[in-house]
Amino acid sequence: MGAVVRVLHKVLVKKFYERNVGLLFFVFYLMFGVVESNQLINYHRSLIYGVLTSPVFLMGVMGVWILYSAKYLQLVLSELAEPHNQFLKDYSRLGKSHQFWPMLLSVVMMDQPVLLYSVFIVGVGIFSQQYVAVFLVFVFHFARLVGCTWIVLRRINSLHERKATKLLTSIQWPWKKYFPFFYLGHFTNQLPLALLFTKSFSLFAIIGFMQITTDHYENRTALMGLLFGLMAHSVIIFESRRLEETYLIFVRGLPISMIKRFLFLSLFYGVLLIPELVLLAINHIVWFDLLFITLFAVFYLVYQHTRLFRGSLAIDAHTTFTFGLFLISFMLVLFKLYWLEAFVLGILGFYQYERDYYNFEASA
Amino acid sequence: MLSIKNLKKEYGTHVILDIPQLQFESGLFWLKGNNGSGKSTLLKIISGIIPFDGEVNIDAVDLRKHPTDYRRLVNYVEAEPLYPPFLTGQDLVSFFISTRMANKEEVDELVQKFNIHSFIKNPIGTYSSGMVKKLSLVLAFIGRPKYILLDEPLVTIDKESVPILYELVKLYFGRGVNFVFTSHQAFELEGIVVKEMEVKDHKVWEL
Repeated sequence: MGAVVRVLHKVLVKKFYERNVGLLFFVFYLMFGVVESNQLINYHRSLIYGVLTSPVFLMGVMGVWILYSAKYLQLVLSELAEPHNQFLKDYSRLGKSHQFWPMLLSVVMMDQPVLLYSVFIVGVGIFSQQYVAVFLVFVFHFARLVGCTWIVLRRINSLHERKATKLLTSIQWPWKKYFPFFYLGHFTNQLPLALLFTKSFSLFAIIGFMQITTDHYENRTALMGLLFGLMAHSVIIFESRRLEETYLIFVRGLPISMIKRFLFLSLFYGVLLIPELVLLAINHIVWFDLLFITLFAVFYLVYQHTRLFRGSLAIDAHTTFTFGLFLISFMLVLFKLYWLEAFVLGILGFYQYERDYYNFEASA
Repeated sequence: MLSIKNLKKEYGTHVILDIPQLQFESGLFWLKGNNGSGKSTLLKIISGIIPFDGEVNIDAVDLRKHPTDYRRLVNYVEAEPLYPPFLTGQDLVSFFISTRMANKEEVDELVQKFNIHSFIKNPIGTYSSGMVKKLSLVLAFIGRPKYILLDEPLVTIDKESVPILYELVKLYFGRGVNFVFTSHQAFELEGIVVKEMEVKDHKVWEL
């Protein structure tokens, strides 16, 4: 049993946290970093009390938990489809209970962030005598964890059928695809859940920050929300680079100038950011500001993309860099210097792209 | 003429290629060598898709100084090409036509010749390895290259496609296109002299 748990931990749990360290760190920051430390306990106690006393709020939180489960299920199912993980077919030779408990443990390990916060919820629930809500939380988690375990086991037991299992239906475009949209096609077709997560989070961040009311026109609240949304795109950026190094190697050999390549990249990120920009436009951000915000947002993503041509393509270094850039940008937005950052990121992005594009080799 | 000078390629401390001087004049060049000798690496370097130390140029067009012009002169197809599975063959062909400024009618002929028109509008993810290889060979002939580099072109294609490939190589050779290819199988081209070379001990030797 111990050996099985160790293998599952290495193949699935570790991989999940490696891939999502940035997102988890970001959510952790949102939950605990944006509130004054002396207000933190009261803030979360009020938040949890709100969750336990409002059925709508509780359902919303449960929806987020389901999305989190979908996130690790997506990774686990795609990992099980990888050729190097086909040895897990042997897992189906174990008896039903020998299959169930190690996999449940792996699911629980991946679910730790949710379960840890739920401990606080249960604590507050008992303290405030919200027993029904606490009971519902218990039942919900039990059903969710067992359900996820069942889905994974079902997939493992059908590995020999060699059918790909997708959690979210991929979108195959019916029209002809042009180059910069190869990237977008990759996300709508191969990673629809990652795209849905990123865009949902990004849009909610903007909507959330725009709830802060001011007595005069102020674009910084929207920009703060946008900045959080841009940070959530770090996974999209990393996966775009992985796409380039796996399926788009042939593009390097084509006679396309570096300026054109850079414009293609900017166009891809520009299209990707259309929902955020439309949201800002309908929330009365003046067109002149919107123009600079667009440049800022596009070059913010392009710069991070071009930086991934340096060194090895490693998610941990990328995440650290993403967070550092976020902190610097946060200060610049506060001082209304985002227009300056847009130009600096654009120029630096093109400079490092031209310097590093042909010098990068994934296997080196 | 394709000219290579002081070329060095290493992975860590492992030297793959160390070629002081090498020239491919006009003709067909068959690169032989054991597995891992550096044949594919050499083709990738010439095609400009991986970094290296040294100089590579075609008719004085330097790969580093004029990267776009140089890439217009070379087409390359990998031994086991990988393309995004959600794209169709038609998407890729259109992309190559636009970047290589090729004649659409000529490309349509290539598509017909390799008999890929029946599946070209399907996603590449549904292709067999042989179908992907045929698509990659069509892509290799698109445009006006001076050199076409083919890495193991005979692997995975069906025997009906082999004479079609030979016929195209002859046709394009007649138009002044030169070929550098690797193959573990003999390339049987009647009426054309194939110059044999071997990649061995990090260098390229004429046989």
